[in-house]
Amino acid sequence: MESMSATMLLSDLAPELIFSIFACCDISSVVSVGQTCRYLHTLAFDKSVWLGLLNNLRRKLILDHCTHDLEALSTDEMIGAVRRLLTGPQTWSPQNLDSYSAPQVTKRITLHPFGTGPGVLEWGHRAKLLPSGRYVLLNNSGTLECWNLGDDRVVWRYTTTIEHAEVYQFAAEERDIESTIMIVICVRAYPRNARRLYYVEIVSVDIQNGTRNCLLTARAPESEDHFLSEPVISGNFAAVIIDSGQTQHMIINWAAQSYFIVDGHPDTPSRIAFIPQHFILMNRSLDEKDQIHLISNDALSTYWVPITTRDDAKFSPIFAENIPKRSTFEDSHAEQTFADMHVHESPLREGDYRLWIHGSNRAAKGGLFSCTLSIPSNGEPQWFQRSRDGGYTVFSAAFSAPPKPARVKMPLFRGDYFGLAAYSGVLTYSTRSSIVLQYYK
Amino acid sequence: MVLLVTSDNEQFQTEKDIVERSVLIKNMLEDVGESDQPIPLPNVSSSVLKKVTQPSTGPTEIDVRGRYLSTASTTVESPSRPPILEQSQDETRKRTTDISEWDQKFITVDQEMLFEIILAANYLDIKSLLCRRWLQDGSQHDQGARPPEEIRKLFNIVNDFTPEEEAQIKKENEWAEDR
Repeated sequence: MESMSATMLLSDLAPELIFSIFACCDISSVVSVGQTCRYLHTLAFDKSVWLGLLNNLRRKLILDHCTHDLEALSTDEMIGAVRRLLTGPQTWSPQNLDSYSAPQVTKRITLHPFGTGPGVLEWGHRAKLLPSGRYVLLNNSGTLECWNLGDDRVVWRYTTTIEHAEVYQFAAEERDIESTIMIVICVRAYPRNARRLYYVEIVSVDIQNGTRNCLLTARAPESEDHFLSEPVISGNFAAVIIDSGQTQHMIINWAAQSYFIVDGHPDTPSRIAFIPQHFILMNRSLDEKDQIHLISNDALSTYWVPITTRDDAKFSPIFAENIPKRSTFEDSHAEQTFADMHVHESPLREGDYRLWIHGSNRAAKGGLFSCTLSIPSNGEPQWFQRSRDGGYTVFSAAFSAPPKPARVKMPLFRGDYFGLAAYSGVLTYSTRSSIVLQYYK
Repeated sequence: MVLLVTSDNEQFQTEKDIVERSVLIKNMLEDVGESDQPIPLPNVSSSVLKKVTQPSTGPTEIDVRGRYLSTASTTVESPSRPPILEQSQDETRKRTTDISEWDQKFITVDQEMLFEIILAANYLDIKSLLCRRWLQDGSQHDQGARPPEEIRKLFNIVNDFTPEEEAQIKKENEWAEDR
């Protein structure tokens, strides 16, 4: 340290030291440093740096494990993989919206959980690809199954302990690669001589061997006849829609065994996603504008009530309009209606989140567009709507190519019949005989 | 408490959980077990160690740098405002003007110390210190990464690109600024 002087330059530091700085930076910082001088440009675009950055994305479950063999990629190809995370598959966004062309399918994986039969599209068998890209969870006639993509094999099965009941919807979050997943499960019970009952279960499962631990079983209050749907889970939180109008969410903090119910616009489906310290609510306002709100968890602290198993439990919903919002996004042209939403951490920056919104507007009909929510550690949150590609990916095109040999027409309607891995663009759907995963160029 | 001895032979009594941010010291402590033996740090001077071990809260002058020492997972701190300014009475003024003033001061006064801290952080193996904070949060607009111009200033980097090269590189990397 005695040789230290004020004239020392960053370029005097050993490459190894600069590499270890890059290893703990996000992608936008590395790219920024790479633009300062020749020496740092060479280092910032070294293959080892990008291998580290992409492995970080894999650890965060933003980049799936099956699409690329990272070691075999050049730096340019790795940068291409990151850019694809931002734009979706290349063939989803044709240069010219008028010259409509079907997206190119590069790979198709078929799993065979149902024996043989005609490949007719089957809504009942919901299947979801986990973000790491290695496993598919699916509802196989009331039993939750975990399938390994690599070898078309079931890894474990989950049956609810509730009597005369079956699993019918679910959502899962991978805690870390190759270990625990948290699952929120909607269960439908048919008690003898009684009305149907709906339950929500939160279970942690060891992905490798299926060892499970049930963390919570709850009923939504006054929901005997109400179909629970669209569950989501992240961290200590889960949410499930508890009414047929798709406007009331039961939000659960399973770690604290508490919940509250939020009530949205009466005629439109609302959606919820959880990010650290916040939740994101997609909802239509009373003056008929489709909006996405960022709500701080701190603003919810007075709403929580303990979960009860009593049948006569009463509840007072919190109206979405009345929850204090930290920030609100509205489409600048206000022509869009939002139908579904998926949120994940930005691959480029810490504190940024990418929102993929399945909606529709007059120009593109059904479409998927993305925007970025930036939550700086000080300062106001900001929303950035992608404008370079018109904001819209011609997502409907993804459904125009019927998978063969099944004569299946994919729905253009809502995003709830199939699983779409937002950042990798892998389409997962079920037929009566198989689960199909379709990868796009 | 752990006793550390720096290259200039100064002794520091330091809280265990603070020094354990350093993977190097953590490993050393595990090797020696519970003991009162001082831990020698022949590559770290006392002035740098003060900054490295200073807790990130507490109104002392060292906080100007100390705020960088908190771990990456802390999300509620205000990275571009030195905690010392949190004490100031005029909240509004602080938000609007002091940020850039302070950034400027930091850039000119602390460059030497910046390199020392980088080297010390590398030696002590404190990942959160490895200047990611300067790169990621230091921008005056608090929006994403620092632009290249600011990084050059902060680290005394000479721009050796030709204007054409610079324009080309800027164009190639525009995607990473996209939101």
